[in-house]
Amino acid sequence: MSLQEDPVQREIHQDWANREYIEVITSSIKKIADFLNSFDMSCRSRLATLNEKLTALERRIEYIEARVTKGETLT
Amino acid sequence: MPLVKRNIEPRHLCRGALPEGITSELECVTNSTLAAIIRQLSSLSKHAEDIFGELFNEANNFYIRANSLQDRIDRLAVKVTQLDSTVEEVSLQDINMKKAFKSSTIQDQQVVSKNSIPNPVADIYNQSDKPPPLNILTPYRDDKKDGLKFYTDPSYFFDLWKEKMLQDTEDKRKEKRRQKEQKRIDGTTREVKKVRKARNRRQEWNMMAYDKELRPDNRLSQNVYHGASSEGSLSPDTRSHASDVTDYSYPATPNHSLHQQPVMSSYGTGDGPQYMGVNQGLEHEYRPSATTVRHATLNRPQQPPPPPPQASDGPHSSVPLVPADYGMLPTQLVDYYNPTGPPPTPLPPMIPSAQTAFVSPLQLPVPPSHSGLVTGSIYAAAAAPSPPPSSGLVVTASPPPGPPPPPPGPPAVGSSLTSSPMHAFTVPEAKRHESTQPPISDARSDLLAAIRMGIQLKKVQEQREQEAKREPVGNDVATILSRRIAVEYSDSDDDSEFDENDWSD
Repeated sequence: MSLQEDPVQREIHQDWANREYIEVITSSIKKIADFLNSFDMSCRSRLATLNEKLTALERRIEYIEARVTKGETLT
Repeated sequence: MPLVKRNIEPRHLCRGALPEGITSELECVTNSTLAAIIRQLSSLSKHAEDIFGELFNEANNFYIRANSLQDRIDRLAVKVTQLDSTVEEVSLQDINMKKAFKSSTIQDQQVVSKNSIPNPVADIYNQSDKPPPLNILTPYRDDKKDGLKFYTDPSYFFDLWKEKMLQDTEDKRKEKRRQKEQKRIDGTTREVKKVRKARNRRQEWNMMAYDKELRPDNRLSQNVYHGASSEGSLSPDTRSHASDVTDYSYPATPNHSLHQQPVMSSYGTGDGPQYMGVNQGLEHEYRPSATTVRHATLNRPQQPPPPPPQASDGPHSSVPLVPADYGMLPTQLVDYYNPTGPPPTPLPPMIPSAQTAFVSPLQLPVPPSHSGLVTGSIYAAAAAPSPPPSSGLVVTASPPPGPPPPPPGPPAVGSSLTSSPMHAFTVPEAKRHESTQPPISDARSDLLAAIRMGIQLKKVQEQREQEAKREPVGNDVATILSRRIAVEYSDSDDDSEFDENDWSD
């Protein structure tokens, strides 16, 4: 009996080991996916902040350019 | 349930059917699961590459913008160091009369539409089932509508909203027109008052164009006038002086306007009589300066009602003033002719400001383009070169009204005038003779025609507005909304401004 069980047991043990291995891999995949999503979101928020700053700077520069070049164009 | 943007493809690892005839089933399942894991990793890497690509594109755009900004900053830094406040030639009038600064604000529109769909969502969309091909029935329809639109129309809600907005703007405008018509029907006195208020506004703006110290005050005297007349040339060197003089001449009309605001009253009160002599001589110097044209037009104004309302602005006031002006001009012309010898006709003691409005010498023998400018030519004829304040004629420095200051006329005339007052009379008088007699009668008819044209033009403008609204709107949410809001919230102001815009131009 034990002999018959052994290969089955070994097979089952092996199967459990494989499944654990697969589980580790899939949980790592999920962590990678979570990391990618959070990285995407944080990057987008930082880029949006950058965009706001850039836009504000551009508007200020436009204003300053208008102030500075006004005198020149008049002459 | 939210729409998932990126799906990793083999969703279930172990659910595939096992092939038959395999002894070690558990190992088979393990192997297929591992194979599915590998496929999942590949789709994950594809999605990751897509994510980083989008982020990279955005960051790249920002990099480009930041670089261009850096270049602009560098150039600005160089420019600023080159700036020298002592050298700057900006005249104070120009500051306020130039076009106001408007920054170019880009508004995001149609953010969630078919054009801005991200790639993974587009892939999912392409994998989905297509709607039934009702488009093939479109050529057979009678009403020429797209067949598929009856089944599914992505732009349905936007079109609905656009129609509603446009309809609302039209309704508001019609209401305003009705209100305007009612006001006009009510009485003409109101119109007069409104017109005066508008002119006062312009005067205010002109007054505010100068700094407080530079605003015209009571210090001008005859000496300035004589000095100005003797200068002779209209070169830019004299322009500063002329500009000062014109500053003084500006408030002449405000003196007489009844609706002056307290700000202007301080400047206007004592200036009138003093400017009579000064303004006459200085006006011819003044006219060529195009910058002062607008200011001058505002000076004309505003006489109290008993003499017919004398609109200061050329085109603006041309209509109501012209008939009065014509009446005034012959008398004024006669006065000008006095020194040279034509028999003076007894002038009724007109209110000085009223006359000055007319006299505002546009000594432009060349009639300007507008019909309103015809009055300008008449004014030019009436513009006496420096007549001594005889018969109480007051020449307010009123620069040529409105749009195109006729350049060649005034310099020649002005120079001649400045050289010697008496000699100057001959030249402009001759011109006046020519210009006054024919244009007087023609100008009146032209003015009437212009009035009628104006009314007709308004109707056409309404039609054009309606057409313009419908045609090029496109899908621009911002413009639609801005128009709607402008029509809604600018009720009272738009009336007078709209009227002003009609006349002035």
